[in-house]
Amino acid sequence: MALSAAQHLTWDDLDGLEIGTRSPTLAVHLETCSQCRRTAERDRQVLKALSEVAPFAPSAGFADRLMLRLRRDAQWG
Amino acid sequence: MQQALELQTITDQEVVALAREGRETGYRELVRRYERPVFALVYRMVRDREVAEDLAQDTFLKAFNALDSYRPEYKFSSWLFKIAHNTAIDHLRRRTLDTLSIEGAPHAMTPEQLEATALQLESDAPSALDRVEALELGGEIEEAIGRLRPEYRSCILLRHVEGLAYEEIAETLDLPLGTVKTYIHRARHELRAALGHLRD
Repeated sequence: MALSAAQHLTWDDLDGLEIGTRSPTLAVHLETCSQCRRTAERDRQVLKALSEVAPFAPSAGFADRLMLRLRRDAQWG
Repeated sequence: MQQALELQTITDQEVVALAREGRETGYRELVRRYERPVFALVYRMVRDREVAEDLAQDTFLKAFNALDSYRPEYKFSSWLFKIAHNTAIDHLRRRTLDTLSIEGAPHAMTPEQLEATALQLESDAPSALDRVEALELGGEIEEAIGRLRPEYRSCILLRHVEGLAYEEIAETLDLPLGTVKTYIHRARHELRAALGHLRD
């Protein structure tokens, strides 16, 4: 059974698309509903952009500075 | 060398046990494993590199000082992210409270009080660190993440950057599962609108 025009993509549908799950009903709906196709495509682009964000790292010596603070705190209780 | 290799192969719980015994190698290994994700989460929350380094250090210190309260049946990373998130949110709240009008506090009664409470504006010239931040956080997706409400931001970062499951995020942030889903879905909705013009 295809989704009616009023039954556009739900968040569960988008979560399903994220992991590659697409029910036959959803597939038919996506073929016929340009609004939902656009939503699904934009969501895919957002997830792609999020997966490619830079792996930020603290500056060099972060661990040494932290261990120094830890020792100082332990010393002064 | 051999010891370093062995450390890399043991579980977080085993490393925590070493740290609980007061072994510095245990503390260092936990920092090695999590300094990047903790820093990245906090940096994207507060959007200031120097502050993020301080808050990331505070996160580890709080965690190490509370290791006895960590329960090994939970993921260490979730417990650490919870401390990092709370530390960043506390900072953001304090920063909001500390914000003063550039004309001075509204309760000032005299011109002297007004001047004393007025925000001191620094030079407009960007520092080297400002330029690094502008490069790192100036991309479209980073700008869009930065415009999200803090609670949406932490949820979307934990889900789609750190790869936590909805249930782990709910546990990490002490939020109902439904709220986590709502925040993530709203964040994705806002990001779709912000990046709507992008094409492959």
